[in-house]
Formats: sequence, C-alpha cells, structure tokens
Amino acid sequence: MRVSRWPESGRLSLLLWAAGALIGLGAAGFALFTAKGTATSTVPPEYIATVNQRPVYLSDYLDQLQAQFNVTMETASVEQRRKVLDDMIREELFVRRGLELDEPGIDPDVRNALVAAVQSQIAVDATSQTPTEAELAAFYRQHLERYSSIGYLLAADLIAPGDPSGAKGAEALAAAGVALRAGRPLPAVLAQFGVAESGLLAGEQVYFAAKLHLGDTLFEAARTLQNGQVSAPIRAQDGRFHLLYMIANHPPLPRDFALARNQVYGDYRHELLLRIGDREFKYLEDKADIHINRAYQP
Amino acid sequence: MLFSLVVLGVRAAQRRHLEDRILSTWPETAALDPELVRFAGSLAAPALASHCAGCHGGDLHGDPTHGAPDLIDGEWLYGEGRVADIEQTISHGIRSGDHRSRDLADMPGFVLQNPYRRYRIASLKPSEIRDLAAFILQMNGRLPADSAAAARGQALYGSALCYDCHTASAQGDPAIGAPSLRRHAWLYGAGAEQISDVIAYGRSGICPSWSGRLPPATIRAIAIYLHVRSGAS
Ligand code: HEC
Ligand code: HEC
Repeated sequence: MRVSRWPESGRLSLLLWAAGALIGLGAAGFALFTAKGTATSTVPPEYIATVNQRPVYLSDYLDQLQAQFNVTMETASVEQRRKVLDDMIREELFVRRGLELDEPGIDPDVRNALVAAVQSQIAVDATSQTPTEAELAAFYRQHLERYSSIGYLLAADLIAPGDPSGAKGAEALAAAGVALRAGRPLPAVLAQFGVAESGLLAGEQVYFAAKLHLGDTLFEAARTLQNGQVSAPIRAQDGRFHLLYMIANHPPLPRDFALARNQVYGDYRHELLLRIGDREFKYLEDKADIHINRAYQP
Repeated sequence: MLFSLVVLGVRAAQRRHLEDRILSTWPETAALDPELVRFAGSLAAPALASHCAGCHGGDLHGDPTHGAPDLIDGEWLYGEGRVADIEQTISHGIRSGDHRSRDLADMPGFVLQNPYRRYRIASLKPSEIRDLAAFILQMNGRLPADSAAAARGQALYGSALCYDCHTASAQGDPAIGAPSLRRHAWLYGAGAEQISDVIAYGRSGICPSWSGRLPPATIRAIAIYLHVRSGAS
C-alpha cells in the first residue's frame, strides 16, 4: 500500500506557505503589541489627541493652556504646549487606572463627579428628542401662567368706621362710591362721607399679596375692576362692608407664543431632562437588588 | 477635453490639500496664514450667505428681530474671539439642545411669576423695570427723561442681582454669555421700550448647532473668517 505523502514540490510550497503565515502572524503581533495609535493624521480636528481611542478635546486643551499659563495657542511656548498635553494624557491614563482600582467605590468626590457625569449623559439623550413646534405650543398652553406677567394692583379699600357692618355704613360707602365715580378726588370723598381706608392694602400690591390681605371675596371683586372703577359695597368675610376703588390694575398678561417660544423650548428641555433622569433612576432601581434595614425603614 | 479634465483634477486636489491644511493647522495659527485666510474666505462666504445671513443679517451686522448679534464687530457674547471660541459656538450652537452647546444662563423675565428656571429670583414691579431701563440708558450716555428713575435703577441693579450675571461694572460675562450692558450693538435693540421688554420678559436666544450639518473644514473656515473680519474692523 502506498503511504500517502506529499510530492517534493508540494512539500516546498507548503513550507513556503507556513513560513509566510508565520511572518505574517509575527508582523501582526508586533503591530498589535507595540501599537500606540499616535498617528496625527487620524486625529479628528476637534481633538488635540486620542488616548486609547478616547478623545482629548482641543477646546479643553485651549482652556487648560489659558488656565495654567494664561496663554493662547499663539503665545504659548513649545514647553507650555507640551506640558499641558502631557498633563492631559497623563490625566486620561490615570482616570482609566482609577477605574480599575475602583476609586468610585471609595472616594466621595469621585462619586459626585460621576453622578454629575451621568446627569450630563442624560442631557446627551435629551438632545436626540427634539420637540416639534406643535409639542412646544401645547406645552406653552399647559403652562400659560409661566409665560404671563405677574399681576399688580393699586387700589383703595374703604370702610365706614362708624358702622362697619350695618346698613348705615353700607349707605355711606354707596354714597362715597357715587362721588368717586363722578370724579371727586379720594381725600375729599374720605372727608365728606366719613369713610376711611381699611389699611388692608398699602401701596402697589402683587396679586397674590392682595388676595392674602383682602380675602377671596374682595379680591375676586378687585381683580376685575378697570382703572378708575368703583365696586358696589361688598360684605366681606370679616363681616364688614367694603368699597373698592381701583386706581391702577395690571392683570397678568400672557406673552404670545411666538415671543415666548425660546423660553418654552428651554423649559421643555429642562423638564425633559428631569423626566429622563427619573426614568433612568426608576430603571436602575428596578434592576437593582436593594435591601433596607428594617429598623431604619423611613 | 483631456486638458480641462486635468485642470479640474488639479483644482480638486489643491482644494483637498487646502481643506486638510486648514484642519490640521492650529486654528489660531491658520488665521495668520494669508493663503489659508484667503481659502477660508472662499469657503465661508457662500456658507454664511446661505446658512447664517437669515438671522445674522446679510452684512453680518446682526438682526434685533432675531436677537442675533453682529458677528464682525469684535464684541463677543461667548469667549474672547479666538478662532477656537468661535468654532465651538458654531459647532455646538447656543441653547441649541446639543449637549455641548453653550447653555449656562438665560436672561430672567423679571415681571414673570417665576422669573428664572434655574434658580429662585424675586419678581420686580413694572415701575422698577422702567427704572432699570433708565439706568441702563444713562450708563450708555443717553440722558434719561427722569434722573431720579435712573438713580433708583442703579440701586436696583444691585438688589435685583443683575450683577450676578452682568458683573458689577456691567461689562458682561463671556463665560456664560451675559452681554455687556454698555454695548454699541444691542442684541434686542437699543430703545427704552426694547430694553424694558427684555428685563420684563427675559430672553433665551438660540443659535443652531452646525456640527454634522456643515463639513468641519467649512466650520473652521467660518470661524477663521469671522475672527479675521472682526479683528480688522
Ligand atoms: C435661527 C437663527 C440663527 C441662525 C440661522 C444662525 N444663528 Fe448664530 N446666533 C443666533 C442667535 C439668536 C445668537 C445669539 C444667541 C444668544 O442670545 O446668546 C447667535 C449667536 C452666534 C454666535 C455667537 C457670537 C458671540 O458674540 O459670541 C456666533 C459665532 C454665531 N451665532 C454664528 C453663526 C453662524 C456661523 C451661523 C451659520 C452657520 C449662524 N450663527 C446661524 C441665531 C442664529
Ligand atoms: C442669570 C443671569 C442673568 C441675570 C441675573 C440678569 N441677566 Fe440680563 N442677560 C443675561 C443673559 C444670558 C442675556 C443674553 C440673553 C440672550 O442671549 O438671549 C441677558 C441680556 C440682557 C439684556 C439685553 C442686552 C442686549 O444686548 O439686548 C439686558 C438689557 C439685560 N440683560 C439687563 C439685565 C438687568 C437689568 C438685570 C437685573 C434686573 C439682569 N439683566 C439680570 C443674564 C442675566
């Protein structure tokens, strides 16, 4: 029986093939184990360097030059540039080493910085969710009070000190009202009809402060008065009759959507970030195995 | 025929070479190289006309209806006008939603019920807004009708915390994009009405981010072009 074997020429080609493969492997291995990846031509323009494929940003580098030496790219010396670059590469390498050593598990500063970093990653996620104009308009309508000016009023709140809760007091107030509507000045009216300011409103008041001082009944009446208008005598929650004379009323005024649009966009994104943050927290919390000591359960 | 193809080929190769150079040269150094500056101009001018003029004006002198600043007057909201500063603004925008955009502060709206989203600030009364506007006009050398109002406005400038962002001398803070209030080119107009409206209702101007929408060489070219033009004027 013929033992199968390679013809002479076949053996030679096999040898050559094996040698070629070995050299190839060797070259690849050499390249792999000595790779530094520092070829400048592969670094994108917005990076000053990459370290293990991670970017060192040009803008950070320029800031660092400024912060450390108070120089710009043109005024920096070669040594200054090299120092800052070396520092930044060193930082990148040490950061990686720090992770291997589980620094984040130990150091509170590192932990804070990482929490901030995750939050800024959330901002990256929010970037991809650009709202449509219709979504913004809906958000605006939902939060109209945010885009409205605060209401103010300057008014006189009159009572009749002689008979604050009785029919005679109400009559005096009604008469004062007729005089005010006829255009008599307030001091003259006070003197003539024996009525006085209650003191509940002192000067110009923000709506919510006025509401607090006047109580709901009076405030609701005041809110709708135009400049120069006088109410009828109103019995308020304090049991007394009041007459409201509006000097200047600035009700809250919503700003048009077109004018408020950029702020709406900012607010929308702000809330989107909060929502994504909450979702991220919920997701992690659901996946996590958390046990709380019974004795301290809040 | 062949000849014109060769010429076209050479032109394209030259252009590629210049694009590579404009990106691989330090931004600030590139702005000192006449050949690159010329090339930057040829890339920047058409891009500015088609993408930026709509807001910043055809002459780049700004447009108060958009709150878009003059880009060549040498006054900068952000940074000090280095090519890298300008490039960062163009690449990532201002309050654009890009997570690297410039977005650290807004102008609060002082007559709103909650003037500021980022932290608590107290509202002001309409009369106080008018006083502040009078103070700002006076600071810019325009005599207000009512000098008592300007004096009250000056006091308010401190108590309403305007200096927090615009600084005590009102020169502005380029780190957060708070403009100088001693401007010759106002974002939103120089009139008392316009200034009052900004203080009353706030502003959050938006410049879009262009990274990914314009090639890196074009963005760099625009930054160099704006840097050079604003230095020259
Ligand atoms: C949709 C309108 C709009 C378009 C389009 C636009 N911008 Fe802007 N840009 C703005 C606004 C508004 C601001 C001011 C933002 C603020 O209030 O801080 C601004 C600010 C800037 C600034 C900051 C200037 C400084 O003083 O720091 C630069 C630089 C700039 N834009 C460049 C560009 C370039 C370049 C383009 C075109 C590629 C462009 N913008 C297109 C609206 C626009
Ligand atoms: C939280 C920071 C902050 C505070 C506080 C602040 N501002 Fe501003 N202000 C800004 C920013 C940011 C802008 C630019 C808005 C834009 O880019 O759209 C601005 C813009 C302005 C402008 C418009 C400038 C122009 O060129 O048109 C005026 C006027 C102004 N502020 C006045 C004031 C006054 C007065 C106060 C105090 C009552 C004040 N600011 C408080 C951040 C602030």
